Amino acid sequence: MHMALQSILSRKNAMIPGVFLLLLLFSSVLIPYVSPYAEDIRGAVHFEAGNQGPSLQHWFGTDAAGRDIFTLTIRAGLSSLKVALGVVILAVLLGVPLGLLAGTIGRWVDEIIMRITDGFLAFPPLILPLTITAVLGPSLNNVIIGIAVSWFPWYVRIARSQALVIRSMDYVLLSKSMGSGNIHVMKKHILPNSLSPIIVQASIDAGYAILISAGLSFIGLGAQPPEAEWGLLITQSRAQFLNHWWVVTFPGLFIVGTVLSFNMIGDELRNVLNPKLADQS
Amino acid sequence: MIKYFIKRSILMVVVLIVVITITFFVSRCLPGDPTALWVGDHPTSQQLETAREQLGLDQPLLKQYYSFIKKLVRGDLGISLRTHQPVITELGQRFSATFELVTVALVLSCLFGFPLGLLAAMKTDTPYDLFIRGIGYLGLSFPVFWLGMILQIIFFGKLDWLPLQGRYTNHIYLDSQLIFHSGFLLVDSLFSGEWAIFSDAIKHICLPAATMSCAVLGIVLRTSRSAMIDTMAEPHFTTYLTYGFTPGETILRSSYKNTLIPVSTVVGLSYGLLLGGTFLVEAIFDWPGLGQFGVLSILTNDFPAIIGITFLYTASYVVINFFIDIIYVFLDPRARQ
Repeated sequence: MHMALQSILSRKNAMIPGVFLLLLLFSSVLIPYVSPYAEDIRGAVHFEAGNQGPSLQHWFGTDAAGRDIFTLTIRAGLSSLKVALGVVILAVLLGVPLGLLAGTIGRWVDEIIMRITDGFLAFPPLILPLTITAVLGPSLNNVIIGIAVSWFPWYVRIARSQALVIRSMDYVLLSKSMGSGNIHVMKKHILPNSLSPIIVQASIDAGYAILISAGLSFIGLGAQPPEAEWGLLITQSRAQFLNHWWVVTFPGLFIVGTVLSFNMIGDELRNVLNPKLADQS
Repeated sequence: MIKYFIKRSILMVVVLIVVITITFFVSRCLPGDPTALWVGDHPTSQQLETAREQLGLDQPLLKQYYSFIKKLVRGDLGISLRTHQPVITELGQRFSATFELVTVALVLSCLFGFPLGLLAAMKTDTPYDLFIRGIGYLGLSFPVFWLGMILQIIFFGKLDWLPLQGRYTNHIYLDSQLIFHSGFLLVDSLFSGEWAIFSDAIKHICLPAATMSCAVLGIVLRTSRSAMIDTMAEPHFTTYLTYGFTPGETILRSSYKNTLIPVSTVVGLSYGLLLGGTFLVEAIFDWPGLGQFGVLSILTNDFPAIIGITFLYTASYVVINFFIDIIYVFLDPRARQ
């Protein structure tokens, strides 16, 4: 794992997006202390300064309420990174144990768990997160729950397929013949071996989670004002975006940059951790 | 082959049953009381009780589940809380607009994505290939709602080439005399010979379809490219080359067929991506379809409508992928045995 980390950091395709994400994280945490427009984050309005194009004072311009788009866009990075992390952790926690169980025990347990995951995967992307969030009520936390509940089947599948391969390996059979039970096998043998495909999937999912949460915030299901979130920033400026291109463009570029970064890191991770799959991208 | 067909059908039914079950539990077991929405603000406990009886919520869960399925089979999706019309009627009126948009987007992405992907495979690691792969990457990272607005700014705001939103211009639509009324405006106007409304409809569908096809284009590009690269590494390809055919000829006459299976798989899966995208794209382009109706339902907490759309979208997604599984048999002679 340590070596994998070293070799991934030495790759340009992973380093540039990695630096971008780290910079985004630090600046989004620090921006309330450095920006002269920090009070905009808490919902301050200055209508006299509204609808200004990009300038030296306002790098990304201001919206109709006179809020500084640069400050808000950077701050919104924090919400999106929170969503990415939340979705991935929750989906792994839900999916991996079920997958290990299905793969290790097999038989009817496997059959039931897999048919249920088939059902979840049959929903078109965006539809299930959207419905769950709509039922739970609009908020960023519910978006995290909605996306994680829709995506955990992917982790079930990964953990299961690893378990199927590893449970019939000689060393596992030996360990079983010496009396170790299913739980021990799952914990000591199968879980460590499933880590790398899970990490690859998680890093790619992190990007798409941000994309979906921005979409849900855009239609009013995600972050609520005065929270700063990219999709919300774009939807707030919809009334007059045709004349004020900057209010839409910059938050969107940050979504693209972040999603692209997670995608590239995921692809590079796959190349490093699982060279056999590298050509399939 | 018959066996394959039966096996696929059974699998589809099982998936649909699980889908219905998940939908039911999402709509019933999660927090949020549907009775409160039914009766409106500040209800008395008496009203709540009656509403609970009307909605069947006082029944045991298993009985509710049973009647949920029974209604679904009859096509009864309940009454919309917002419009007070049966949900199925509302969906029926908007289905054709969405289907038209999604189909045009899908055709566009295959029309461009497939040949460009094959071309990229022939020229691996040239600047052209890098450019194509870059597009594939970017297409998947663009938020569709943002892309739509950027296209509106450019093609309506700056250039004024295309209309901002909607499906047709009202006065042109009212002047036209359509003979066919299938609901698919492009088809209707084409067969009625109404060129004014046909070209108007084309202009209107350009931006939303382009917006939606972006992500799918990326997927089709990447899949056709990598499938072609795999095919080019196979012995039969080298054999053709030694006969003196150029790689281009070989691909055009024979080898492209090997990429049809993986490409048709992702086309089936992309349908889901497109259906999900309708919620965002139709909202932006004021397209009178299911997605726009869905967003309105969400904003007004119209749960029967939300559940109805979820079910309709998922069912059509499952059925489409079922048909793609069947098409495999025709694309790949090996699957016929």
